[in-house]
Amino acid sequence: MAKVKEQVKYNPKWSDVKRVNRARMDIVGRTSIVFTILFGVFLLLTTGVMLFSVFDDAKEFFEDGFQSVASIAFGGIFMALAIFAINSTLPFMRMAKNIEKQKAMLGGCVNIYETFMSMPIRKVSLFRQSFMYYCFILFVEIVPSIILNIIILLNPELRFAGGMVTIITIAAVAFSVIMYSAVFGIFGKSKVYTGVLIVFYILWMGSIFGFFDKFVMAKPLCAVAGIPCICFAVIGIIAVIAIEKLYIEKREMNAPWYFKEEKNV
Amino acid sequence: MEMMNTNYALEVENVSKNYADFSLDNVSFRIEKGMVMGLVGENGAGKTTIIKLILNAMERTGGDIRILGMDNIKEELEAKERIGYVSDDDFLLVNSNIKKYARAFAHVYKNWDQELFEKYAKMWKLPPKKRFSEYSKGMKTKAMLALALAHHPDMLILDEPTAGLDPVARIEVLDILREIVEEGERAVLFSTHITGDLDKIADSVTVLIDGKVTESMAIDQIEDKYAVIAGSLTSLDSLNTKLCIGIRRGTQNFEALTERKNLDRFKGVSVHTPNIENLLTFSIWGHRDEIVELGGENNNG
Repeated sequence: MAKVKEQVKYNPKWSDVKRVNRARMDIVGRTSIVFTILFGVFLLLTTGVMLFSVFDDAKEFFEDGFQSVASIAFGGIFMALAIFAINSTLPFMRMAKNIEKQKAMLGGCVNIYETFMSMPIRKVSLFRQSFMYYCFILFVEIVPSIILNIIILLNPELRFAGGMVTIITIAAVAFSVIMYSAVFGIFGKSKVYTGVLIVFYILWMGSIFGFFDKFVMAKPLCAVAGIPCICFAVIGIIAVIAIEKLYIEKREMNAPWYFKEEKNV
Repeated sequence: MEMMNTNYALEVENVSKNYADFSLDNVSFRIEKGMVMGLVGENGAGKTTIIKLILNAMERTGGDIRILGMDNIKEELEAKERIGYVSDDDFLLVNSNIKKYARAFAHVYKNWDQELFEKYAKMWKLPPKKRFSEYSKGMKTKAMLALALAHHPDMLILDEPTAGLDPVARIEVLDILREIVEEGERAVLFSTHITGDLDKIADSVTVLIDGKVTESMAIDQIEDKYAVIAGSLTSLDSLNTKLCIGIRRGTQNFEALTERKNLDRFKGVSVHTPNIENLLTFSIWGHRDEIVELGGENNNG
């Protein structure tokens, strides 16, 4: 007997965020799931290899130098950013100045956003849904740097690698906060978003080619690895969550859907 | 005017929106439940801006908007639950298909009726699994209509649904709209610059010119209030010219729109019944203070 597929029905028990997420998945289909799995596997591999190496032989791991450590870390961040970009319902509005340019550049996500605009969905639910995926970036970026700091804290022999861990922590926190501010509309200008990505790539490539190897040996940087860096990372996470809950969600509760307003008649 | 009259499907009251180079100026109109209003104006008159304001896509500078008695911002969810929206610029993801969209809509709309949706999709020959990139413009418009209607909306907002369609698709879409309208169950705001689309559909019309409402009235009232006059230029003088809403002038003859109450001020002219297009075009020429030459160029009057 042919299998009868159950008809989709409105589920009143679902939260708005779940509803938005499911509707987005329905519209985009398997593509986003496949790419999310693909990037997720790469992310697990890069982060997993890094953490495994650290726990296996931390000294050898750090002696490999900043090039390998940073390239793994930046690679992980890139994967996390890709997963966020694929799953977010925010159309990265600030990459283009007005809705027409947004449509031309970013057809897919702007179309989904426009669809949601006409539906009984709160704009703030899209921010919440996107923040859910952003928390994933936050976790993937900052938690490994906290682990590295804890390992240095537990093993004073590894203090020589404090500089690279400090730089990775600062880069991870700064990138998380600035990227959050750009995507969720604190800065409100497309060039900030573009600038963050350019700086990210320069740091990534620079670390791979060894431009920062001598810099990471600086004693002040070595000294702040450990508790100060962990505190800095935790403050970064709390700051992002606080801004989201206390500012962004309040701002977007009844806000009009279009971010940038130019003549659009 | 007093608001919150639940006999109205849509109340737009003194709505303003200011841009650097354009503004909507105290726009007001109302649509009664079950009625169809044509929102007409040339490109750039502000029709889409009004619709975006109704949908809370843009922030208004002033005024109030109520949908079925509900504030369009404070009760946005409840209001949008009862609206069906068809955009001039389709919002369909090219790699997706109508089946996927229907699933998404079913998750979001409380009153989603899958059987009704499938009925429309079958009736309008919309292949459920075919990508939108392979749909024609007419098929996309029909797809948006099917999605907009399948949750039993009390009000339809159509933003230039026939724009960019080839003649056959346009007639097909208009036939569909006529069927929907004939059911008489829902109010419709039909924005268009193609006034012929409103023939046999609209109960009332609102004319928007350069961000201002110049007329908002029942279709029947157009012929009661206005008349198109045609005749020799000798019939025009400096006094009765001022009584014309807009004038189209040839080397010897002219056409003009005027109020019927002024007809006795024009001697030797033939009088015709105006349609929506006459109301719009003569209003535009009059608003711009232009006297348009028959088959020729415009002159600043």
